[in-house]
Amino acid sequence: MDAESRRSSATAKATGPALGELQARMAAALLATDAAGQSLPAGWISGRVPAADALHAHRNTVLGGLSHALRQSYPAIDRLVGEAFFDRMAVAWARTQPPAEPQLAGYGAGFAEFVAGFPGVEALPFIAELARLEWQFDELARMRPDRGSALQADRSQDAIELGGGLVLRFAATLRVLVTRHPVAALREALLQEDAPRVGTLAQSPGVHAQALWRGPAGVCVRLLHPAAARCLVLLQAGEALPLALEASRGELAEAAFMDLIRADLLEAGFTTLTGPAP
Amino acid sequence: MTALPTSGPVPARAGIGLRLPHHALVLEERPAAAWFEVHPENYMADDDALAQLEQVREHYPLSLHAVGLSPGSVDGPSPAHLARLAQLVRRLGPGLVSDHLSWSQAGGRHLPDLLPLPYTEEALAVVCRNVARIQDTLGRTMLVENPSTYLEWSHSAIPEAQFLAEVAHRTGCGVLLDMNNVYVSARNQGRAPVAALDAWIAALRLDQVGELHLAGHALTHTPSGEELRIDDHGSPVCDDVWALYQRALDCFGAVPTLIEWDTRLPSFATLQQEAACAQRHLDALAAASGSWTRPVFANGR
Repeated sequence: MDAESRRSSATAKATGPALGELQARMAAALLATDAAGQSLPAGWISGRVPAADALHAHRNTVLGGLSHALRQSYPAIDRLVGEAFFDRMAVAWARTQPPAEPQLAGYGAGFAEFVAGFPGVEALPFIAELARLEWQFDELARMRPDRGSALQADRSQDAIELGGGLVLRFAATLRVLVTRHPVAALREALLQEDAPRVGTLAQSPGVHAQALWRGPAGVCVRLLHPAAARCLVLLQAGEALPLALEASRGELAEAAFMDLIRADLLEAGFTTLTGPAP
Repeated sequence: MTALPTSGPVPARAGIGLRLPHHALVLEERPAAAWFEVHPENYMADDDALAQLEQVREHYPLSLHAVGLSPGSVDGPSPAHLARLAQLVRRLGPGLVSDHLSWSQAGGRHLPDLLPLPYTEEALAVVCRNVARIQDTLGRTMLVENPSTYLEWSHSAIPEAQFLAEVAHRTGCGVLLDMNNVYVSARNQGRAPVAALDAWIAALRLDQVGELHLAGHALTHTPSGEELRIDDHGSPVCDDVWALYQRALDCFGAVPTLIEWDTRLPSFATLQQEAACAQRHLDALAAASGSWTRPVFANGR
């Protein structure tokens, strides 16, 4: 068909909506929750498949795709609440927070806070903390193990002089989470489908500290004594070692405190200690 | 960033869509595969996966098949996404780069689906503008794939094949002709798949066809009971699509052909078997064609 024939045909056809209007209204229809909002003006769509059914197919693809992306980032939450409930949460969130960019790895920041207030999770007081942990796992899993990446600001660790030529450095990807529930253990139990252990852990509120970092084989987790976690956070913030130790010891006896600092920080997988051999 | 040399031209052989679960096997065993195609969006925020893909690229020709450029969007492609793709293209040096005749972006939102365009003069201008911009940014030509559709817009005035042929003519881009999409769209619109393919054959020049896709689809029913075929890439290529593929080869000659299987991902060996079936078609064509050389898509710039 040459250009003139196309123009004649185009004139003969109903003028139809401008492309911008069509795209805006279809996008809104695919995310709408009510029947009226989910439809497009009569006559816009033709073809063998009824318009509502065609839009339904596209809606399923869009919302299913976003739900799948969130499920990849929050697998323990998915196990915790079950597939159907997770889909309800995911679809509800996606409708209000559709992605702005095409790559969906990294879609889901903020889902943890949404989940915390979702009707039906009241009996799961640890769900928000668990979701925040999962988001940390997701970000770390997408990093290369030998360095941080553009996913987070480069936190190249200043060397911490320990005296005698010893120098301490922490992994650039290291993060510390202090939570009221043992969420790292909960996550592991959920992914292993260990329901009894989940039940026990869910009843163990307190102060729980977890160190996470990107190791050679994947995301690593180490449970920390809260005092060690306090010290680590201070050191990461640039506090001098003596002051960090003093500020984090609390009521612990000095010997016991230094033992846990040695075990939780100096001998941890996220720590590199260099210097002259003893 | 220093650009790596191209991974090599994608040969007119049967390739395989490479997905993350098969990375380890490919890197450890270096299985027989003529070339691989990946979705670049899977590597834009995953440093670990990208490092693996760079290793794959050292041993196999590579094609990048994007799903997020949204060439049909009035808003144009996301500048940030286009920049990320350009960076990946410089880093990986793929033999082919492609996306779809569709849209996904509207009003600052991305909807993860390949949404249908009306085939109007306005849409033609928008697509040509966006494809030209994408090609300028990437510094190379791209292929645009025919979509699978569930609906038609009432005010479409240009036949789909002629629409995409005109895009190729105006922008210099090539066409990625997806046999499964030809079939799915035809059946969903109540048309004969062979006639639908013949419309593509009539509309396109040989040198405009840079790649063929083969995939499986799912037969479902709508809430109102209508049959609907979904291009879900989740099953083997069906006999009807193999027949369309043979017809396409008879008309277009040997073209790089990809087995696309994204969901319910099978074993890598199964993908190799599907690719081997496509390769048998290509080998038979070569045997029958003798010394005739088809004009190839002028890839690159």
